[in-house]
Amino acid sequence: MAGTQPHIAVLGGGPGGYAAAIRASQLGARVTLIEKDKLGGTCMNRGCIPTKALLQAASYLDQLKKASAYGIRSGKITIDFERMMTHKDRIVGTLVHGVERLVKGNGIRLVKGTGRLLSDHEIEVESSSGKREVIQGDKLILAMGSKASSLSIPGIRSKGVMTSDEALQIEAVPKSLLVIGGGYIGLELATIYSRLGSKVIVVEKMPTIFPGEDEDLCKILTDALNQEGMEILTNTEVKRIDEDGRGELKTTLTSEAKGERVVEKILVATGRVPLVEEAAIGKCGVRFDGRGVSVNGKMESSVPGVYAVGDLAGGLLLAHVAYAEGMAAAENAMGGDSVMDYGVIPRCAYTFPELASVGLSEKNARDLPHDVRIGVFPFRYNGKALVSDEQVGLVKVVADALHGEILGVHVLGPHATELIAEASAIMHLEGTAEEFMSLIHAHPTLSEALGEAASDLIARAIHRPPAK
Amino acid sequence: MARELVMPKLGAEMKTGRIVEWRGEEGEWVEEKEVVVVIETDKITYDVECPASGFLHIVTGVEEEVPVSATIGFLCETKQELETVVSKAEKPETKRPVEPAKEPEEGRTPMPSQPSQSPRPRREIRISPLARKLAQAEGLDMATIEGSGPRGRIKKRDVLRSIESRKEMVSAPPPERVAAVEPGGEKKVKGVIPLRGMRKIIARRLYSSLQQMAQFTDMGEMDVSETVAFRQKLLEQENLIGARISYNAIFVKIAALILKEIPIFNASVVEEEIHLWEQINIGMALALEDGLIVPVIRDAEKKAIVQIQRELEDFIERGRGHRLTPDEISEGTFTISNFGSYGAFFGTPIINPPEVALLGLGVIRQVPAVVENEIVVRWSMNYSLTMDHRVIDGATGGKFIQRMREIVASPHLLGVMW
Repeated sequence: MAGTQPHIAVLGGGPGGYAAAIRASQLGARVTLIEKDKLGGTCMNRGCIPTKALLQAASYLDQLKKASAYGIRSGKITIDFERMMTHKDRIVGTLVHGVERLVKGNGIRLVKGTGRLLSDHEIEVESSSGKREVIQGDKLILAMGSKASSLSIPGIRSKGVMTSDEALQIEAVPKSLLVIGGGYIGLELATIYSRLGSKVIVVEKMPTIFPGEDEDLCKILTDALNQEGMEILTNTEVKRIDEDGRGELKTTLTSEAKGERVVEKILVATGRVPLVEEAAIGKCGVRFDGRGVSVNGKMESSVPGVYAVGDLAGGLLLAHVAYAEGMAAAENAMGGDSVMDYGVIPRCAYTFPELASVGLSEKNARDLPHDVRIGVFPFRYNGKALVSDEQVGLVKVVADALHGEILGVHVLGPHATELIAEASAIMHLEGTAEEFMSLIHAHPTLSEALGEAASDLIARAIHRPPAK
Repeated sequence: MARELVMPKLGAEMKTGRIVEWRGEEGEWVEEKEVVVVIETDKITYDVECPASGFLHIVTGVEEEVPVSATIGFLCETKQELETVVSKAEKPETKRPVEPAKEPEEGRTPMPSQPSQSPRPRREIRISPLARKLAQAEGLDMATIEGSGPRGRIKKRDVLRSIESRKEMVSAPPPERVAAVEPGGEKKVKGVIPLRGMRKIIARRLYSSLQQMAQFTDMGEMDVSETVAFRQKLLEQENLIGARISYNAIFVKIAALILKEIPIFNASVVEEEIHLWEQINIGMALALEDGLIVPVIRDAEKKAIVQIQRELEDFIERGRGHRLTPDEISEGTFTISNFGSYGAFFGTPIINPPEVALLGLGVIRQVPAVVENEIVVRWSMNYSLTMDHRVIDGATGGKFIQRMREIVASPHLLGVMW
């Protein structure tokens, strides 16, 4: 059968790449996966997973502090940062090893090295020892990912200025940390180090943190973070960075918040840029711009038979988007007809409290020619949130007034990143406000807040006082 | 071995087909090449011939709609085989419609939503709550919406597409349900002819045509003596040409050449825009015993009259046997209806949507005419040119007719115009 079995070469072993490789293999392809470093990509090695490991540590710390109110006495709480980092690395190692086993278990050939396109069906791989090999593929799937973007301001190369990669590898909790960028990456790392004791300042040039997310929720989150001791400066930019000679960094701010802040470390978290300049893809005619490789709905690039997925293809740089795109690309490379649907993609920020959303924000929904209804339910009326003493936040449901189409759901609060799955499911299956509010939620759970928010669309929530 | 009968794919765009009529009975012996089942798409009805002789087992009932390639029946070589097939088919598993892909996880029971055993008049409607609300609000018949979700589940986008296509095609209420008999009258029903198959398609398309356009018809006559003489010569040289050239072929060519010169006749209204078509595809209305079909001569302006003639003959031959495919009756950009062939002088022909004009040809006959103050006998033909006034004005119609007069007066031009 070898003669008829298609060969698919995947360049990059992150979520997009390894999902593509596994799906292609499931569909009967012979697959070669090329990775220059460790499998798992940014997500597992430098992103989602290590940050969550540290956030879990920060969460335990918080729970230990709260535990006394529940009658649990513990001794003096101390932080063993080295151990925390080792534990994080162990979790990462376990997952990476798991992906290696998945790849192997699916009969995929893993080639370690840096790939470069020779043509629309050839990738030359150079291993770290300098050995070269040309991989032939009937179809190619490109998944080289992204890197942290930088800033061009004076002093950006100063010692102590970090990317998110480096912020996950530092040896001690900095006394003070200034984070440039109030998006997912910046605020998660800000949350970690703030909880571990750093004095954290977040600088965001837009009028709100998490630009594009629901403004009401962002405001509550900003207040909560400020209350924790973070300093959130919106409408503000860092103009320059100066080393003060005593190992500290002086930052000069412009716009709304003026003045200077002197900190030990600076984290630049202004986003990520697709690695379109890698692997000489342009030479083979693959079209791209600064936002990523141009692809059609089937993830195929301008060169037929060459697909691009994940961060490399731009759009939403999220691991779960990369998974979906990788699978779609593999299915299409194997002759299928999978068109990516970006209509329902949850977005999660693991701050304290967590912020998770799917669909349109209230503002974006109101910009459409829809009559929009809003249903809101604060967690302070939810029994389970009271039990765990996590009452900050609310659920907001944005629906079309005519048919009750759920346009967006926004959750700020405990386990928001898990709760959002219910909203995604309802939207994916095209349930309307009616189905949402008549769905029976177990009691006592946080998920009740979702049902109540949906019921609030027509002012039928039970556990909150009627609006005046 | 029992042989499967499947829903044929008649055109690139065909996704599903509906059973109009089984010509063979359950369990009956049917002969190879005999028409065993009549199917329809939204465009066409089609007679399906037996690929082999055998005892017939019907899987898909009349009015049921199934995807292309789905099994609609079996042909069994022996009675015994028929029994085996029937008993197998009674188990629900074998009746499941064709699935696009494998189940993601093995060992899971499939969702309990399979159709029941006996053929039912309607397919089961799988529809999302949101899609249902939208369809209800728009008064759409959910059974007519093709679902793009898993197992044909109708989603919001399908309803929106359906609303769009209804805007283009049909305005409510469905034409076949409009004219109800008023109750309590003296009239008694003598017989009932179901409005289905080709009849239903004609009813829907032409009714919707009149609902959506501002149609007006320009009528007049023209001297076609030169063209009659031209054709006479072609008939005399039939052996040389290798075909008996009809007036239809000649007028297809003439119309195509005029459309090339006046492209507004070769257009469609798409939302708020008039789209001019690159191709000139002339449909020729073809009367059948039980209806009417309009096969399309593609790129007619580029074809020699003899080639057009051959294609028309092939269409007539296969059209009568209901053997035309949807592709052959799709993508017309202009239509000719030769009602002169049954002796009519004038007509008010209805445009074939989404086209914007149609040329009706009356009978060609000898008339007394005044030429240079003398009464002479000339050949004359009436025309009825229906146009969509949203797109074409009367004066533009006049240009079309003027050009047609010129060409029929100098038909030798047809040999050199391209």
